[in-house]
Order: sequence, then structure tokens, then C-alpha cells
Amino acid sequence: MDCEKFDQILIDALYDELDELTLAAAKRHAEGCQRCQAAWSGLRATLKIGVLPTVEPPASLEPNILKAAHEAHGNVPWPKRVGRAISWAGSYAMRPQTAMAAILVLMLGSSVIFVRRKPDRSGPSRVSVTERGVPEQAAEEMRPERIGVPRERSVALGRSSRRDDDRQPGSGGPFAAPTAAAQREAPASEGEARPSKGGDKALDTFAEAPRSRGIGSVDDIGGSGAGLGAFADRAAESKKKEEPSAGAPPDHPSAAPKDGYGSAMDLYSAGRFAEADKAFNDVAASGAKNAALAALYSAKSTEAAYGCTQAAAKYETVASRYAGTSAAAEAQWGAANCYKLSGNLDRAYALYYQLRTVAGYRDKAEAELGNLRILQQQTAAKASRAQPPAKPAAPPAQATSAPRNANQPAQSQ
Amino acid sequence: MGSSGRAEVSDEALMLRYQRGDLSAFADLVARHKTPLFNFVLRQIGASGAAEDLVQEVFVRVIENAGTFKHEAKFTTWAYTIARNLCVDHHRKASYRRHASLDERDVREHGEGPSLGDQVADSHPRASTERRAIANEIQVKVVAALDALPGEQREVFLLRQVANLPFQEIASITGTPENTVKSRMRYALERLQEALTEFEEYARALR
Repeated sequence: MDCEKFDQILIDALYDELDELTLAAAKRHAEGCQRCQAAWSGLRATLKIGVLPTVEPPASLEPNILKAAHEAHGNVPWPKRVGRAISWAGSYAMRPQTAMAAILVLMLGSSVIFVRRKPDRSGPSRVSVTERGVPEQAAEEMRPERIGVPRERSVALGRSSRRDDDRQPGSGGPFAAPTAAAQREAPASEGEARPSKGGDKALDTFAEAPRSRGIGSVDDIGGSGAGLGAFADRAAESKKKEEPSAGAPPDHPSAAPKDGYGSAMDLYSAGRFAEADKAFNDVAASGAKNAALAALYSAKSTEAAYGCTQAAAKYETVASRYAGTSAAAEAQWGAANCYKLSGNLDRAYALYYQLRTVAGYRDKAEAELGNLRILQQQTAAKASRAQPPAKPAAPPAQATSAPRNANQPAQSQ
Repeated sequence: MGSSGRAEVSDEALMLRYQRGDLSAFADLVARHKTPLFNFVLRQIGASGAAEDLVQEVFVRVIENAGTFKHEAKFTTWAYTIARNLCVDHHRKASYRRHASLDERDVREHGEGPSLGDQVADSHPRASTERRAIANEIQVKVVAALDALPGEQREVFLLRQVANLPFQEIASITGTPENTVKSRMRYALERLQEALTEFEEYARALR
């Protein structure tokens, strides 16, 4: 240590505010340096004797101060009182326990918010598909190899076939096979002329499927696994939609405020078929969302009001205009029935034959085709008995051909 | 005198209690600091009555601004800053008046507290009388030397010797660097040493 450094630390040394090492170095330096030694000892002696006398304050000082404190404490303006309260609260808020408690409450609160958040708001909705038992025979028949669908589409097709076969035990294919909810609503005894509301619901939802999923034709449904898969998906969605959900109005027209379709359906349900026919025609002509269904029910109303002769043509119009939709298939089925009832067995045979390729109609169509063949044979036998020398009746040359003179009344469905 | 004498509760803890409405904590603070504050103000302005008023004003300001006090700060720094500012204001006003109050008694020349003689007095009456005389003479010299100091040096000397504050806190109160404070303290001690040269032998005898 040199004198300059010693001068810098001299005051600290006088007040014993140096660390031991520096103090020892200062002492060593002072022992060898006369100037620094004199400065140190001189100032130390001055500090010792240069003590100022302590003057006691007047006795009135403390009472006066405390009196002022009491007065000030009682007359603190409200902003300062608020400041004191904030200061007091702040002293607690700054404690780590408080901060940890706040973080804990924040975490719990945020987790509650996330748990309560509805999943359908956070992203795309998921379709829940309920698998049901599939008859072994039906599953075998719907294998993709048998209907010519590539293997990669077999999953979707499998779902579709199961769904369709599941509906087959119902009254009339996917249209007339109401869902569980619909079955609860609709009386089981109602016939095809007056389909239950449950059936209508199914019709509505199935009618929307081709438009939204791009099923363009009957071939799509019969020959494309993708089409069938989409059909199955729509079936699952329609089932989901039928289930009441809190806070969301159902898509079904009957649940919505009455529109043209709903009013027409009311007329139809009330047995006012002529008016229903007109009302459904208007809905179909308007090109509304459920125009296909409206056209189908218009044809059904015509059948009920005016008979099969007029209805058959209307059914065929619906089937061709809305080809590829489920309403078209149902219309084709209605047309075939009408032709059969009116004696046009050839046309009925052709339509039934086409319906064999439509899921949900295959078994029924096969059954009707068998009936028609029997009718044809009976007709041929009668004809041969009436004209013995005549040539025997030839079987249909093509699969789509039907007996020309099948005038025998058709069997009821 | 200063904070070194305090044992249990710190000034800041007492201030915190007072912020929450505990008047007894404030009374403790007053009891602790009234004497050093009074002496600091008295040696700065030289008039006892005015010093009493100023010390009272210091505590009133503490009361008024108690809500703004943060317990991270030191109470003594805060209180002596207030006292120093009040002394500066007093000096400014006094310089305009240019005359002293007639009823003020100048205590700079006559200390009222225990004298150096009291501190060094022993049980032998004869020696004690002589030492008391010397001590009184020293006190007069010290007070005179203190009055002769520049204000900056006197302020630092008083804060260190009367209020017993560390240099770092003095630097904070005066708003100057710590090294400057130490330099001022050294100059003040050297001036005092010059004033007490004739008592050097006596001082060495006290070691």
C-alpha cells in the first residue's frame, strides 16, 4: 500500500469500516510511513476529543409531536386513507405465499375453463358411428370383391353395407326404416301411403347426403365404395342429428318453424293429398333444399289422390330428375310398384331390375322380380291353354324385358 | 444515539406497523430519533426554539407521507433528508431576514448536554475539576470550529457524528458520491484538528 491509497482509506480506517486485510495493510504502511502515521494518529485523537455535546430536546417536543400525530391520524383525507389501505394490502400481496396462492387459483380457474369448453367449438366436428351387428349373409354379399369395388375403398363400403343392411329389416328400405328416435315417435301400424314422421326425418337427412358429399348418380351408390362410404357417413350424421342436443336446434324441417315443405307434409299427414300434391309441387319447383323429397312426396300424394296411373309417370320424372339421390331410388321403387299394379309388368320388371343395384332395395327388388316371373309364367300358361296350336311363350330375351301380356292383377306388397 | 442503540425492532418495521395504524410504533420512532434529529437541526441552524419547531415539522411530514414510505427504504435516510431540506429552507428564509430572533438563545457556544468533562471525569475531585475546565474549553473550540466549517462539511460531520449514519447513507441524503462525503469528512476533521492543536497532548493522554 502507498500513501495515496492510504489517504483513500484513512476515513474508513478511523471508523473501523475496513476489512481485516486492508486494515492490516494500512497499519503496516503507517508503521513504515511517518506522514501517514501522523495523519492517522492525529485524526484519531481529534475524533476522540472533538465530541459535540449532546443537547437534550425540550420536554415539550415529544408530546407536541405525538399530539400532531394523533390529530393527523384522525384527519387523514380519504385519498391518503386509501393509499394506506393499498399500502397495507400491498404488504400482504408482496408475500410469496400470496403470489403462489394466486398462481394456484389462476391454474385452477383456467383448467376449469378448458374443461368446460365445448369440443365442437374448438375444431371440426367428429362423427360418431355406432357399429351394430351385421347379418353374416348380408356382409358376405356386400364384400367389395363381389360388387367390384377396389380394396382401398372396402372400409367405407363395409360401413355402408352394414348400415344399409341394418336398415333393411324395416318397413321399406332406408327411407321407411326409421331410426330409433323416429320409431318412438311414429306409430308402427302406419303404411307406406302415410309414412311416419320418423321415416320423413330419415328421408330428409338422406336426401341431403348426395348434394353435400357429391354422390352424382345411382352408379356412385351401387358401384363406388367412396359413394357408399359417404352414404354411411351421412347416415351416421343423420342419426346424430336426430338426437336432441342442448342449445342447438335440430336440422330437421319438422323441428324448424313451419316452411312450405312442413306445411305440405302437414297436409299429407292429414290425408289432404290433392292439396299436398300441389304444395309439394310448389316446394319442388322452388328448388329448395329438400326439393327432391318434395317431388317424391308430390308423386306419393298423386298416387294417393289420383291413383297409380298418373303417379307412375310422376315417379319416373322424380327418379330421372334427381337421379343418384335416395329420393330418386324411392321414386323408382314407387314407379315400379305403380306399373306392377297397373299391369305394365315389363316396365315394372325393368325398374325392379335396376333397383337390384341400389343398396337397401336389392332384396325387395329380387323378391318382386321373382313374383313378376311367376306372373309371367302364369300368363304364358293361360295364353297357351287358350290357344293350343299357338307357339309357346318365349322367355324374356333380356333381363330387362318383361311379359307383354301380363294383365293379371299384381300381388299386393 | 442513532440506530446503533436500537436493539430489537428496526425503524422500518416500526414504520410498517404505523402504516397499519399502530400509533405506539410511531411513538417508539419519536423516542428513538427525537434527540439526534434535534441535535442535527440545532447544530445546523443554531437556535433551540426553531430547532424544536423543525424537528416537530419533520415528524409531521413523516406522518403525512407515511403512506408513501416503502419498507425497502431506510427510515433514517428518509427522516434526515426531510430534516436537511427543512434546514436548507430555514437558512434560505434566515438569509432574507438577516437578523436573528431576539428571544432565541444561541446554543452553539454553550452546549446543554453532557460535556466532554462529564465524559472524562473520574472519581478524583481535584483532577476532575481540572479536566472539566479543559473539556469545557475543548467544547467551545469544537463548536467554534464546527461553526467555521463550510456548510457541506459541517453537514457531513453532523450526520456522521451526531446522527451516527454510515457514509453510504449520508451520500444518499446529501445526494453526493460516497467518496466526496468521505473527503468532506476528512477536511472537517482536519479543520477540527487544527482548532484543537493545543489540546493534542491532552488528547494523546486520553488514549
